[in-house]
Amino acid sequence: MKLRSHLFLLALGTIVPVAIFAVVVAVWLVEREREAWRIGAENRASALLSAVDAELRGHVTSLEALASVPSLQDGNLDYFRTVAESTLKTHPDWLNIRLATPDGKPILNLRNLDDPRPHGSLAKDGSFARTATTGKTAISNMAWDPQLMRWRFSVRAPVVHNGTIRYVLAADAVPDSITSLVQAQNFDPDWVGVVLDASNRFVARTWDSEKSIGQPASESLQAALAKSSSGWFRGRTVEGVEVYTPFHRSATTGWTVAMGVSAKTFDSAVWRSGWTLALGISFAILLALLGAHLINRRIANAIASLAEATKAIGKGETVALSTDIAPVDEIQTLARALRASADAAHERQVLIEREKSALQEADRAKDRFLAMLSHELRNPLAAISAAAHVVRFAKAGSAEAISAQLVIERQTRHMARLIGDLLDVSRITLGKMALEREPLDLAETITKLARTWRASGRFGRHDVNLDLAPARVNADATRIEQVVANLLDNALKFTPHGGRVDITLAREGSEAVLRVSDSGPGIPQHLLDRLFEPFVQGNEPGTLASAGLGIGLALVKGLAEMHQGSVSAVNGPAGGSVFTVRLPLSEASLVVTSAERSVTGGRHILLIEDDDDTRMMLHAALEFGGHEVRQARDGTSGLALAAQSLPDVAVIDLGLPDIDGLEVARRLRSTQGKRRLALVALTGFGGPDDQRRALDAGFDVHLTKPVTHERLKRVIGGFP
Amino acid sequence: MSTRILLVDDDADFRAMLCSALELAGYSVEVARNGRAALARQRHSPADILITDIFMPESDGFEAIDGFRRNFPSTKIVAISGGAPVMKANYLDAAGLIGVDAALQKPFEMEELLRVLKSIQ
Repeated sequence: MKLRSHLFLLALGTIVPVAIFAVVVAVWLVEREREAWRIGAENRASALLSAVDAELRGHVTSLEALASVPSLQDGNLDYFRTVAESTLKTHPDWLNIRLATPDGKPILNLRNLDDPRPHGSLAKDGSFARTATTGKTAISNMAWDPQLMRWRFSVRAPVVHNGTIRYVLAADAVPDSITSLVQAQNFDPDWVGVVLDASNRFVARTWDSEKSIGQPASESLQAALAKSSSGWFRGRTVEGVEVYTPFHRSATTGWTVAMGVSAKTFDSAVWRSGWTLALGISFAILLALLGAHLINRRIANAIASLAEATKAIGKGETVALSTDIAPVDEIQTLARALRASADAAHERQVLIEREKSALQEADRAKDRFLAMLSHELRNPLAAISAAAHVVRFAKAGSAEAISAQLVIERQTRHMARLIGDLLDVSRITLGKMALEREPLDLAETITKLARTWRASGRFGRHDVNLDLAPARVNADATRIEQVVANLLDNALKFTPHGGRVDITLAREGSEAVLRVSDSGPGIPQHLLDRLFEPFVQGNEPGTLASAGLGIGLALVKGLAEMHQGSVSAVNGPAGGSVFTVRLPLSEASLVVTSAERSVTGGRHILLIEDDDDTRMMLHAALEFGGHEVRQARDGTSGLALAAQSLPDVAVIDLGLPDIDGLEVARRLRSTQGKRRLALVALTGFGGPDDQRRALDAGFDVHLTKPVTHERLKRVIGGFP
Repeated sequence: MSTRILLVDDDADFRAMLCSALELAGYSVEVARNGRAALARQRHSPADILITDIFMPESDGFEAIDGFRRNFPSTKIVAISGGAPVMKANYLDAAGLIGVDAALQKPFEMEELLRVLKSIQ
């Protein structure tokens, strides 16, 4: 279901109950209004009836007064005539005064008008008969007077003499005063007020006054009067106009007062409040729906644009999303979240692109590397192959033959080193390289290497200078030589003939710092950051010549880091590049500093080894070297011996039967006094983790079995 | 008069060995370290056959081949290189495209080179 439908339902759901309640109230109000109207109209009708009754009573009173004049009682009719005539003059409504015997014989007629009715018919007249027989006053219905050409009614009163009815006196009257009474009510033009006689004929009527008199009342009114003497009904006038009619019939006269209230006017007046209410409700509903529509437009449009944005984010397109999208907090929150997500997606996309291009770059580097590898391996092979040919065909001992042999040796060594470096880089990368660390003096290692290179002519026409301070480190001599050789090789390769290469070694804080600087062209800025990554080359892409494999510096970095050291490269202020290798000085050298103690025999050595053959062999070797040796077969006795004999060096097998060698080392370290004990670990496992564990436990050197005499001698001699 | 060969390679050991081997095979051999030096030497004492490496610093084998084709069109050329067909352009193929008489990949048997030299004379 659409949002619009929900909002419309909400609006309707709120308004409809209110509307229903309002309608109920309206209907109730209408009913009350109608009731108030009805009561008001009935009261008016009743008041009018009282007035009509009073008017008629006036006629009756006047006639009764006339009936009681003495002359009439005495039968002095002549005199009575004069009295009657004067009475007639004072009553403008009265047309005539007549006198008859109770049996209907006319005796006196002031106007001398002939009664058109046949003789004796008077006795049958309803009102006359009533008065003649009961002796009570009566009022007749409306009747047409053909001589006066007027509608009139008669008031009759008995003339009683000595208890008997002697005459019936009658006054014929026109209903003018009653008409005036009705007209004095000032009804609205669409109201009609009527007075009916006992036979339901109009005595007076506000509508069509002249013509209506004497005419029968409307059928609906007659029907209502037949049922009840007073009430309220909805019916039609004689003209057919729909009216509400309150009516009241007088008990004394039998005459009726009724009012016709135009149903149209009445209903419209009554319903006006209802309509006002309905209009109000409709307006409210309209307003609510309009509101719902507007909110829908704002929210729905905002949601639609958010949906578009979400789609775009999914496709990885960038989206410009305003948080002003709609003045709705929740939507703004959504828009903000969506924008954040778009930013994140974009960032991710950028990272992916970057990673992709890095991968492509790595792929290109790999291709270059393979081409270079081929070149680097084939060239020495070509030289060797040619040299082998020369050896075969040249005279033995000739200059060519000797030269060819040297070439074969040199190129073979070169290739071996190349392949070795390659494998070493791979080993470092895979974490499979193990170091054979021992205390050694870096200066000594470098001096030895430089001497060899100089002797073999590898320095060529370069000016190589050494400035080395002694620096003792705990390192793998072969690997350190590899580091120095690679740096030196690079310096020579990238420095033109006649250029200068400086190698310096210094102690700075707790580090040995080796610097190899050259007077070459320096390192291009774009390469400085990536210099130590494998396969990155110092030469421009495309000119493959003599650049090497690009693994030398990667190897240097890997080896330095394996020794807990570091390597960095900068361009010197005066041109050329400076490579700096930092290695941690060994603790022993920190204590001894530059006071190089001459290394002779005569140390106290504690040997803890459970394997009898190994122990005996090592014992013999160490004693041969001039040391004083004590031995133990397990950790416990070893520790006891150490406490007793205070050795300079302890050589400990890690796999002892009781306490393991690591624990022995920890205990020895924790109980040693000011005199520092040198600890050498012996183990069959030479992995990097084993070494780290041994060093952590306090060993200075970690030796992997089998240990040669030479190596053991070097290690022991290396301690200060 | 023996056939004169000009040998161009940046690797001194290889240069020296190939030079000895060719002399043992009866050729008269001159050597140069790069393409430019080869062209200079050719002007000074022209050779019948040029044997050149492709990848050399400063002035590579393509430069030598181009220069020889232009200035010494009668000189036969043998290209030798250790480049592997890993990259999209195989350098020996490229040498073939610019017109050398023969191409060899390092390392090669001496007998093969001698056979090639005989065949192009």
